[in-house]
Amino acid sequence: MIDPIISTSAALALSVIFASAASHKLRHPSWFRRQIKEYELVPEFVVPTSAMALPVAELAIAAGLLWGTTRPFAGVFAALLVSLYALAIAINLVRGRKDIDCGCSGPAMRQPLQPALLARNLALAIMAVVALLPMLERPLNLHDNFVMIAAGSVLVLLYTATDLWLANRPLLLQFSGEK
Amino acid sequence: MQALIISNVMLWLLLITASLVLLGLIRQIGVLHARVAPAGALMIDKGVEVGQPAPQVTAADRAGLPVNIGYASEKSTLLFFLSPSCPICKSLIPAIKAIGKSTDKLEVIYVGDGDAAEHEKLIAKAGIEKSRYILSPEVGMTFQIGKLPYAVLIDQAGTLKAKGLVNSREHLDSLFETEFLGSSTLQEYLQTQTESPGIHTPS
Repeated sequence: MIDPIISTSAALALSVIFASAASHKLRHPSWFRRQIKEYELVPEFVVPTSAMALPVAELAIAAGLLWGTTRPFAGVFAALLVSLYALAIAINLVRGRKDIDCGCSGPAMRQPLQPALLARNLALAIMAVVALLPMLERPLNLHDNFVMIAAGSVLVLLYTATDLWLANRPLLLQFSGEK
Repeated sequence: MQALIISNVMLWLLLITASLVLLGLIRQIGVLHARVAPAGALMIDKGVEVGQPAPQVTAADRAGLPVNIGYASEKSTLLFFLSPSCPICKSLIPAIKAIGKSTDKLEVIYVGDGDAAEHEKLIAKAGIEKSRYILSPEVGMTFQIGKLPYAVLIDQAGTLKAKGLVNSREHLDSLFETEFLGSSTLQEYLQTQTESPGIHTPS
Protein backbone atom coordinates (compact mmCIF):
# COMPACT_ATOMS: atom_id res chain seq x y z
CA MET A 1 0.00 0.00 0.00
CA ILE A 2 1.44 3.33 -0.97
CA ASP A 3 0.14 6.85 -0.81
CA PRO A 4 -1.86 7.93 -3.88
CA ILE A 5 0.45 10.93 -4.35
CA ILE A 6 3.46 8.71 -5.09
CA SER A 7 1.58 6.34 -7.33
CA THR A 8 -0.26 9.03 -9.28
CA SER A 9 2.75 11.25 -9.88
CA ALA A 10 4.73 8.28 -11.20
CA ALA A 11 1.79 7.31 -13.43
CA LEU A 12 1.40 10.87 -14.74
CA ALA A 13 5.10 11.15 -15.58
CA LEU A 14 5.19 7.74 -17.26
CA SER A 15 2.10 8.61 -19.25
CA VAL A 16 3.73 11.77 -20.63
CA ILE A 17 7.00 9.93 -21.37
CA PHE A 18 5.21 7.12 -23.23
CA ALA A 19 3.00 9.54 -25.15
CA SER A 20 6.00 11.55 -26.34
CA ALA A 21 7.90 8.37 -27.28
CA ALA A 22 4.89 7.18 -29.28
CA SER A 23 4.54 10.54 -31.02
CA HIS A 24 8.17 10.41 -32.22
CA LYS A 25 7.58 6.96 -33.65
CA LEU A 26 4.24 7.77 -35.28
CA ARG A 27 5.48 11.02 -36.82
CA HIS A 28 8.50 9.36 -38.42
CA PRO A 29 7.29 5.87 -39.35
CA SER A 30 9.97 5.15 -41.95
CA TRP A 31 12.70 6.24 -39.53
CA PHE A 32 11.35 3.88 -36.87
CA ARG A 33 11.06 0.98 -39.34
CA ARG A 34 14.73 1.43 -40.22
CA GLN A 35 15.54 1.61 -36.51
CA ILE A 36 13.87 -1.75 -35.82
CA LYS A 37 15.66 -3.27 -38.79
CA GLU A 38 19.00 -2.01 -37.44
CA TYR A 39 18.46 -3.80 -34.16
CA GLU A 40 18.42 -7.07 -36.15
CA LEU A 41 16.22 -8.93 -33.72
CA VAL A 42 13.05 -9.70 -35.65
CA PRO A 43 12.68 -11.24 -39.13
CA GLU A 44 12.25 -8.78 -41.99
CA PHE A 45 8.53 -9.40 -42.59
CA VAL A 46 7.62 -8.56 -38.97
CA VAL A 47 9.34 -5.16 -39.11
CA PRO A 48 6.43 -3.07 -40.54
CA THR A 49 3.93 -4.67 -38.14
CA SER A 50 6.08 -4.12 -35.07
CA ALA A 51 6.93 -0.57 -36.20
CA MET A 52 3.19 0.09 -36.10
CA ALA A 53 2.34 -1.99 -33.03
CA LEU A 54 4.98 -0.58 -30.67
CA PRO A 55 3.90 3.08 -30.81
CA VAL A 56 0.23 2.09 -30.63
CA ALA A 57 0.98 0.01 -27.54
CA GLU A 58 2.86 2.97 -26.06
CA LEU A 59 -0.12 5.26 -26.68
CA ALA A 60 -2.51 2.74 -25.12
CA ILE A 61 -0.26 2.46 -22.05
CA ALA A 62 -0.03 6.26 -21.81
CA ALA A 63 -3.84 6.51 -21.84
CA GLY A 64 -4.33 3.55 -19.51
CA LEU A 65 -2.04 5.04 -16.86
CA LEU A 66 -4.29 8.06 -16.49
CA TRP A 67 -7.33 6.21 -15.08
CA GLY A 68 -7.36 4.52 -11.70
CA THR A 69 -9.14 1.37 -12.88
CA THR A 70 -6.84 0.62 -15.82
CA ARG A 71 -3.66 1.83 -14.14
CA PRO A 72 -2.44 -1.53 -12.70
CA PHE A 73 -2.75 -3.23 -16.11
CA ALA A 74 -1.11 -0.33 -17.94
CA GLY A 75 1.63 -0.36 -15.30
CA VAL A 76 2.32 -4.05 -15.93
CA PHE A 77 2.49 -3.51 -19.70
CA ALA A 78 4.68 -0.42 -19.26
CA ALA A 79 7.16 -2.39 -17.15
CA LEU A 80 7.12 -5.22 -19.71
CA LEU A 81 7.62 -2.91 -22.70
CA VAL A 82 10.46 -1.03 -21.03
CA SER A 83 12.12 -4.35 -20.12
CA LEU A 84 11.66 -5.53 -23.71
CA TYR A 85 13.45 -2.41 -24.97
CA ALA A 86 16.18 -2.93 -22.39
CA LEU A 87 16.57 -6.53 -23.53
CA ALA A 88 16.85 -5.42 -27.18
CA ILE A 89 19.52 -2.87 -26.23
CA ALA A 90 21.36 -5.39 -24.04
CA ILE A 91 21.44 -8.02 -26.80
CA ASN A 92 22.91 -5.54 -29.27
CA LEU A 93 25.40 -4.30 -26.68
CA VAL A 94 26.54 -7.89 -26.10
CA ARG A 95 26.87 -8.24 -29.86
CA GLY A 96 29.24 -5.27 -29.63
CA ARG A 97 27.12 -3.04 -31.84
CA LYS A 98 27.72 0.28 -30.12
CA ASP A 99 27.45 2.22 -33.36
CA ILE A 100 23.75 1.84 -34.07
CA ASP A 101 21.32 4.56 -33.06
CA CYS A 102 19.26 3.88 -29.97
CA GLY A 103 16.08 5.15 -31.63
CA CYS A 104 14.87 6.35 -28.26
CA SER A 105 14.02 9.97 -28.80
CA GLY A 106 13.21 10.61 -32.42
CA PRO A 107 15.49 11.27 -35.39
CA ALA A 108 16.48 14.72 -34.11
CA MET A 109 18.37 13.34 -31.12
CA ARG A 110 20.59 10.49 -32.17
CA GLN A 111 22.50 8.59 -29.56
CA PRO A 112 24.48 5.40 -29.85
CA LEU A 113 23.65 2.37 -27.75
CA GLN A 114 25.36 2.51 -24.38
CA PRO A 115 25.04 0.66 -21.07
CA ALA A 116 23.68 3.80 -19.38
CA LEU A 117 20.48 3.32 -21.40
CA LEU A 118 19.85 0.11 -19.45
CA ALA A 119 19.98 2.08 -16.20
CA ARG A 120 17.57 4.58 -17.69
CA ASN A 121 15.13 1.81 -18.61
CA LEU A 122 15.49 0.32 -15.14
CA ALA A 123 14.42 3.68 -13.68
CA LEU A 124 11.40 3.69 -16.01
CA ALA A 125 10.51 0.14 -14.93
CA ILE A 126 10.71 1.16 -11.26
CA MET A 127 8.34 4.04 -12.01
CA ALA A 128 5.95 1.60 -13.68
CA VAL A 129 6.04 -0.72 -10.68
CA VAL A 130 5.38 2.20 -8.34
CA ALA A 131 2.40 3.17 -10.50
CA LEU A 132 0.83 -0.28 -10.39
CA LEU A 133 1.16 -0.84 -6.64
CA PRO A 134 -2.17 -0.73 -4.77
CA MET A 135 -3.07 2.68 -3.42
CA LEU A 136 -4.05 3.69 0.09
CA GLU A 137 -7.67 4.89 0.20
CA ARG A 138 -7.79 8.44 1.48
CA PRO A 139 -9.60 11.62 0.49
CA LEU A 140 -7.53 13.97 -1.67
CA ASN A 141 -7.63 17.70 -1.25
CA LEU A 142 -6.48 20.50 -3.51
CA HIS A 143 -2.95 20.47 -2.13
CA ASP A 144 -2.59 16.73 -2.78
CA ASN A 145 -3.60 17.24 -6.39
CA PHE A 146 -1.13 20.08 -6.75
CA VAL A 147 1.70 17.95 -5.39
CA MET A 148 0.84 15.10 -7.80
CA ILE A 149 1.01 17.34 -10.82
CA ALA A 150 4.14 19.15 -9.60
CA ALA A 151 5.97 15.90 -8.79
CA GLY A 152 4.90 14.46 -12.16
CA SER A 153 6.28 17.50 -14.02
CA VAL A 154 9.55 17.37 -12.11
CA LEU A 155 9.90 13.68 -12.97
CA VAL A 156 9.28 14.37 -16.67
CA LEU A 157 11.74 17.28 -16.70
CA LEU A 158 14.43 15.29 -14.91
CA TYR A 159 13.87 12.34 -17.22
CA THR A 160 14.22 14.54 -20.31
CA ALA A 161 17.34 16.15 -18.87
CA THR A 162 18.87 12.74 -18.12
CA ASP A 163 18.02 11.55 -21.60
CA LEU A 164 19.71 14.58 -23.18
CA TRP A 165 22.66 14.17 -20.87
CA LEU A 166 23.06 10.54 -21.94
CA ALA A 167 22.80 11.59 -25.59
CA ASN A 168 25.46 14.28 -25.14
CA ARG A 169 27.90 12.04 -23.29
CA PRO A 170 29.26 10.08 -26.27
CA LEU A 171 29.61 13.34 -28.23
CA LEU A 172 31.83 14.82 -25.55
CA LEU A 173 33.79 11.60 -25.15
CA GLN A 174 34.67 11.88 -28.83
CA PHE A 175 36.48 15.12 -28.02
CA SER A 176 38.73 13.54 -25.42
CA GLY A 177 39.27 10.51 -27.60
CA GLU A 178 37.99 7.93 -25.14
CA LYS A 179 35.33 5.98 -26.81
CA MET B 1 -0.19 24.56 8.89
CA GLN B 2 -0.89 27.41 6.52
CA ALA B 3 2.78 28.37 6.50
CA LEU B 4 3.88 24.79 5.83
CA ILE B 5 1.55 24.45 2.86
CA ILE B 6 2.74 27.71 1.36
CA SER B 7 6.34 26.69 1.90
CA ASN B 8 5.68 23.30 0.30
CA VAL B 9 3.99 24.83 -2.75
CA MET B 10 6.84 27.29 -3.15
CA LEU B 11 9.44 24.54 -2.91
CA TRP B 12 7.69 22.55 -5.63
CA LEU B 13 7.53 25.57 -7.90
CA LEU B 14 11.21 26.27 -7.30
CA LEU B 15 12.07 22.63 -7.94
CA ILE B 16 10.24 22.77 -11.28
CA THR B 17 12.17 25.92 -12.17
CA ALA B 18 15.46 24.29 -11.16
CA SER B 19 14.68 21.25 -13.33
CA LEU B 20 13.87 23.54 -16.27
CA VAL B 21 17.19 25.33 -15.86
CA LEU B 22 19.02 22.00 -15.69
CA LEU B 23 17.27 20.82 -18.85
CA GLY B 24 18.17 24.07 -20.60
CA LEU B 25 21.82 23.79 -19.60
CA ILE B 26 22.14 20.22 -20.83
CA ARG B 27 20.43 21.20 -24.08
CA GLN B 28 22.96 23.98 -24.55
CA ILE B 29 25.84 21.54 -24.24
CA GLY B 30 24.42 19.64 -27.19
CA VAL B 31 23.99 22.82 -29.23
CA LEU B 32 27.50 23.95 -28.31
CA HIS B 33 28.87 20.64 -29.47
CA ALA B 34 27.11 20.97 -32.81
CA ARG B 35 28.62 24.44 -33.27
CA VAL B 36 32.22 23.63 -32.45
CA ALA B 37 32.31 20.12 -33.89
CA PRO B 38 33.97 20.92 -37.25
CA ALA B 39 36.93 22.59 -35.52
CA GLY B 40 38.07 19.42 -33.84
CA ALA B 41 39.00 17.39 -36.87
CA LEU B 42 42.56 16.65 -37.69
CA MET B 43 42.62 16.51 -41.43
CA ILE B 44 44.75 14.46 -43.70
CA ASP B 45 45.26 16.87 -46.51
CA LYS B 46 44.76 15.69 -50.03
CA GLY B 47 45.14 17.31 -53.38
CA VAL B 48 47.95 19.43 -54.77
CA GLU B 49 50.72 20.38 -52.38
CA VAL B 50 51.47 23.96 -51.41
CA GLY B 51 54.13 25.42 -53.67
CA GLN B 52 53.10 23.36 -56.67
CA PRO B 53 51.20 24.79 -59.62
CA ALA B 54 47.50 24.79 -58.80
CA PRO B 55 45.30 22.47 -60.83
CA GLN B 56 43.75 24.29 -63.74
CA VAL B 57 40.02 24.26 -63.99
CA THR B 58 37.41 26.38 -65.70
CA ALA B 59 33.90 26.68 -64.37
CA ALA B 60 30.93 28.92 -65.00
CA ASP B 61 29.91 31.41 -62.32
CA ARG B 62 26.34 32.34 -61.40
CA ALA B 63 26.01 34.62 -64.39
CA GLY B 64 27.24 31.88 -66.70
CA LEU B 65 30.59 33.56 -67.38
CA PRO B 66 33.59 31.24 -67.43
CA VAL B 67 36.06 31.59 -64.56
CA ASN B 68 39.60 30.33 -64.98
CA ILE B 69 41.22 28.98 -61.85
CA GLY B 70 44.86 28.03 -61.58
CA TYR B 71 46.01 29.94 -64.67
CA ALA B 72 48.46 32.82 -64.53
CA SER B 73 46.56 36.09 -64.26
CA GLU B 74 46.88 39.69 -63.11
CA LYS B 75 45.46 39.00 -59.70
CA SER B 76 45.94 36.45 -56.99
CA THR B 77 42.94 34.28 -56.31
CA LEU B 78 41.34 33.34 -53.05
CA LEU B 79 38.95 30.42 -53.40
CA PHE B 80 36.47 30.09 -50.56
CA PHE B 81 34.60 26.80 -50.48
CA LEU B 82 31.30 27.01 -48.63
CA SER B 83 27.88 25.49 -48.25
CA PRO B 84 24.58 27.01 -47.10
CA SER B 85 24.21 24.22 -44.55
CA CYS B 86 27.40 25.15 -42.73
CA PRO B 87 26.95 27.88 -40.11
CA ILE B 88 30.68 28.58 -39.80
CA CYS B 89 30.89 29.30 -43.55
CA LYS B 90 28.21 31.96 -43.14
CA SER B 91 29.96 33.54 -40.20
CA LEU B 92 33.17 33.82 -42.22
CA ILE B 93 31.66 35.57 -45.23
CA PRO B 94 32.08 39.09 -43.73
CA ALA B 95 35.78 38.39 -43.17
CA ILE B 96 36.16 37.12 -46.74
CA LYS B 97 34.34 40.21 -48.00
CA ALA B 98 36.64 42.46 -46.00
CA ILE B 99 39.74 40.76 -47.40
CA GLY B 100 38.40 41.10 -50.92
CA LYS B 101 37.65 44.77 -50.43
CA SER B 102 40.98 45.62 -48.79
CA THR B 103 42.94 45.16 -51.99
CA ASP B 104 42.41 45.13 -55.72
CA LYS B 105 45.19 42.62 -56.27
CA LEU B 106 43.14 39.75 -55.01
CA GLU B 107 40.15 38.16 -56.56
CA VAL B 108 37.81 36.38 -54.21
CA ILE B 109 35.82 33.51 -55.66
CA TYR B 110 33.14 31.71 -53.68
CA VAL B 111 32.69 28.07 -54.58
CA GLY B 112 29.81 25.86 -53.59
CA ASP B 113 27.76 23.02 -54.92
CA GLY B 114 24.31 21.61 -54.29
CA ASP B 115 20.92 23.23 -54.33
CA ALA B 116 21.01 26.52 -56.27
CA ALA B 117 17.99 27.99 -54.47
CA GLU B 118 19.67 27.52 -51.08
CA HIS B 119 22.77 29.23 -52.40
CA GLU B 120 20.70 32.15 -53.75
CA LYS B 121 19.23 32.60 -50.31
CA LEU B 122 22.70 32.61 -48.76
CA ILE B 123 23.98 35.11 -51.34
CA ALA B 124 21.09 37.48 -50.77
CA LYS B 125 21.46 37.25 -46.99
CA ALA B 126 25.20 37.83 -47.02
CA GLY B 127 24.99 40.59 -49.65
CA ILE B 128 27.56 39.09 -51.99
CA GLU B 129 25.51 39.33 -55.18
CA LYS B 130 28.32 41.12 -57.00
CA SER B 131 31.05 38.65 -56.07
CA ARG B 132 32.07 35.79 -58.29
CA TYR B 133 30.21 32.74 -57.12
CA ILE B 134 30.72 29.37 -58.74
CA LEU B 135 28.11 26.68 -58.30
CA SER B 136 29.72 23.48 -59.42
CA PRO B 137 31.07 20.36 -57.77
CA GLU B 138 33.90 20.29 -60.31
CA VAL B 139 36.17 22.83 -58.61
CA GLY B 140 35.83 21.20 -55.21
CA MET B 141 36.62 17.81 -56.73
CA THR B 142 39.67 19.17 -58.55
CA PHE B 143 41.09 20.58 -55.33
CA GLN B 144 39.86 17.52 -53.36
CA ILE B 145 38.01 19.49 -50.72
CA GLY B 146 36.74 17.23 -47.97
CA LYS B 147 35.80 19.68 -45.25
CA LEU B 148 34.15 23.08 -45.18
CA PRO B 149 34.78 25.98 -44.90
CA TYR B 150 37.98 25.62 -46.88
CA ALA B 151 40.12 28.33 -48.44
CA VAL B 152 42.76 28.14 -51.15
CA LEU B 153 45.15 30.94 -52.08
CA ILE B 154 46.66 30.96 -55.55
CA ASP B 155 49.19 33.59 -56.65
CA GLN B 156 49.40 35.42 -59.97
CA ALA B 157 51.64 32.77 -61.50
CA GLY B 158 49.08 30.08 -60.75
CA THR B 159 51.02 28.55 -57.87
CA LEU B 160 49.13 27.22 -54.90
CA LYS B 161 50.40 29.39 -52.05
CA ALA B 162 48.31 28.23 -49.12
CA LYS B 163 45.26 26.21 -48.35
CA GLY B 164 43.43 24.89 -45.36
CA LEU B 165 40.33 24.40 -43.33
CA VAL B 166 39.32 27.81 -42.03
CA ASN B 167 37.12 27.93 -38.97
CA SER B 168 37.82 31.46 -37.87
CA ARG B 169 39.10 34.82 -38.97
CA GLU B 170 42.47 33.81 -37.49
CA HIS B 171 42.70 30.72 -39.64
CA LEU B 172 41.89 32.83 -42.63
CA ASP B 173 44.60 35.33 -41.78
CA SER B 174 47.04 32.50 -41.26
CA LEU B 175 46.72 31.72 -44.94
CA PHE B 176 48.65 34.92 -45.51
CA GLU B 177 51.12 34.24 -42.76
CA THR B 178 54.70 35.42 -42.51
CA GLU B 179 56.43 32.06 -42.52
CA PHE B 180 54.64 31.06 -45.63
CA LEU B 181 55.02 34.12 -47.71
CA GLY B 182 57.65 36.28 -46.09
CA SER B 183 55.12 39.02 -45.51
CA SER B 184 53.22 39.75 -42.35
CA THR B 185 49.95 40.80 -43.88
CA LEU B 186 47.91 40.14 -46.92
CA GLN B 187 48.52 43.68 -48.16
CA GLU B 188 52.27 43.33 -47.77
CA TYR B 189 52.20 39.99 -49.48
CA LEU B 190 50.33 41.35 -52.44
CA GLN B 191 52.64 44.37 -52.67
CA THR B 192 55.79 42.28 -52.75
CA GLN B 193 54.09 40.04 -55.25
CA THR B 194 53.75 42.90 -57.72
CA GLU B 195 57.25 44.22 -57.12
CA SER B 196 59.10 40.97 -57.48
CA PRO B 197 56.93 38.13 -58.56
CA GLY B 198 58.13 34.66 -57.74
CA ILE B 199 60.65 35.65 -55.10
CA HIS B 200 58.93 33.80 -52.31
CA THR B 201 59.89 30.23 -52.37
CA PRO B 202 57.84 28.25 -49.95
CA SER B 203 59.73 26.41 -47.28
